[in-house]
Amino acid sequence: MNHLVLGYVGLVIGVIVTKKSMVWRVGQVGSVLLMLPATVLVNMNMTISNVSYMMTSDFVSLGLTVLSIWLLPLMLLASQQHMVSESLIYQRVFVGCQVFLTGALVLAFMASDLLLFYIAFESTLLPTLMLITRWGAQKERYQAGTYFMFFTLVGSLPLLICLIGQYQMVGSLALDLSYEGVFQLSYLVNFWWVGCILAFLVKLPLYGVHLWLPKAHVEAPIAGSMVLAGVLLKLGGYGMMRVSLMWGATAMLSSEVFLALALWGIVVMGGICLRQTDLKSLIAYSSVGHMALVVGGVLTGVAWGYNGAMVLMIAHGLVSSCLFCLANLWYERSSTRNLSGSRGLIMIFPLISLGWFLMSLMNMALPPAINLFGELVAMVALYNWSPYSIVYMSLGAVLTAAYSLYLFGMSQWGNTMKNYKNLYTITSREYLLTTLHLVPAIYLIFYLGLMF
Amino acid sequence: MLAVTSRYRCTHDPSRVLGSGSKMAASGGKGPAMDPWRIFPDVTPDQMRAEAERQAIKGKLRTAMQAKLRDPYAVGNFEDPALTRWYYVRNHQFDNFKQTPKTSFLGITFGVVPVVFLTWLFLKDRRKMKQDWLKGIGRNKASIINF
Repeated sequence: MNHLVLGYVGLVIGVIVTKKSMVWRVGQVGSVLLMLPATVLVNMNMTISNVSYMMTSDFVSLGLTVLSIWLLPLMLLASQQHMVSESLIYQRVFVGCQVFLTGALVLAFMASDLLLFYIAFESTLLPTLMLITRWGAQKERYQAGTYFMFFTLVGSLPLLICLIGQYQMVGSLALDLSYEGVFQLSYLVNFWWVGCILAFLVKLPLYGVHLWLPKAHVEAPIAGSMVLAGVLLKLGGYGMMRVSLMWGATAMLSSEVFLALALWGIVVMGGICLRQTDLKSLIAYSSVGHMALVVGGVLTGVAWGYNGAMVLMIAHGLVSSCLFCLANLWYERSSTRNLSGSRGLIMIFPLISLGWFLMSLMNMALPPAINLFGELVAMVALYNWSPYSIVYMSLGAVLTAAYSLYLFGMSQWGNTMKNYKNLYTITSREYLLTTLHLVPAIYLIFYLGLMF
Repeated sequence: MLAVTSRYRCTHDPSRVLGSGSKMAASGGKGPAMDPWRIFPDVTPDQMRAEAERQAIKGKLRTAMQAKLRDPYAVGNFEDPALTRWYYVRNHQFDNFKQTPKTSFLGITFGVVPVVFLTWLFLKDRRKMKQDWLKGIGRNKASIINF
């Protein structure tokens, strides 16, 4: 799929050279057109099959590649409002950043070599940093960008060292040639394994190293939040699945610490979300809880765990991205993200309340949404791993339902606040944005075979 | 607010109670129904006066806020600075964190102990499971949910 990545390179160039009135049009139309080559990627085999000499597409990467390609036009659609007043060069850089980011993500998900994956993984950091620190709304964005960069960099340096060690041991970093587990009995192999997955645990994020996420999500502009919540977190899950070819057995042997952190993280994040006053912060912390279940699913090492993690990642990408769009809808009108300062929205914006409603229900894994199937499958895998995990998972599920309903209830119901004077109607652009998030999520309910 | 322990609830503005009227009588010439000494028997006149001043200040703030809220020529959203300050405090707790015995206790109880306990629990369970597998027992759980 060289031409898919080259398409994104071309789109970046196109955005830089077109005239002023065509910048956003080129970006959006081009990103929609680039979905067409993605249709060739459909490959339901679990075994890796090559598409070209350095890229591959299989069941694991398909969903996430399509998700990242799908999210690009949505990101551009969502950012139109707040970029209207920027100067032309900044608009070009903004659109170019997002297109470059999506190109790097597609490269990462389709890389057939672990080093290429690593390079693409790192190259997604820079455009995201630019998005957060240049176009974020508050002065806290500098600290948010710093946290985001340094957490990921510190986590991924051991990954580079361990990949080089793997290269020296195996002779190649191609995914086809990974060992089926490393059968050394020394305790050192655990450090090697931790080095490989630490970057992805930071990216996911795992509960203990999650500090960058609320800052980055809250301070980023809407496009940054969408891509962070929608795709960048899934890079961690995808990376863990890829290195599981080599480290799956070690994960099955020595993953108790990380699973303890993940399971306690679900419960703690549920509690934290119930105490949040910031709309975006609530959605950001809920992402940590959902991704903790993905960590759990992947670290069990069984096929059900991987399947559950995959479905959870796709479902969460769509739902979280849509929730950020809806929160941004309100933020653009009221300049506030305060939860108690944004009440009674169902009376002001009744139709977009449908979007809030459906997304809140999907966030708490209400059947028949695909979030439920992902959670259920991952939970079964975790229960099989150890029955004591059911206590924390069920507590986490209850708290997830609680804060999802709290989010919907606090924002939509209650007496409408009378102090907002700038409430223009929801534009068809915003309806389209919500619809384009809802349609795949609902479509996947009926065709879950795409994931399984 | 003053803790009014009396059975009688004050239904009128205290500033009016202490307002006009005779300055000679302690009750202000109003009679027992409006005598502050009888309505709030456990409250001194100084406390009454202080509360009346506080209510007057709050009344002025309320009037100012209502004026801004109901101003028909206002453009933009009305921002309550007190609310902004409250949200700033809520959202910047991490930046102003200070290590005290209480925060250390909370951190250890809710951060370290559950994770360590869970790790120990899972290690114990997994070790037992692996030993059982090697013996050929499998996951034999004698419980009501055994299937």
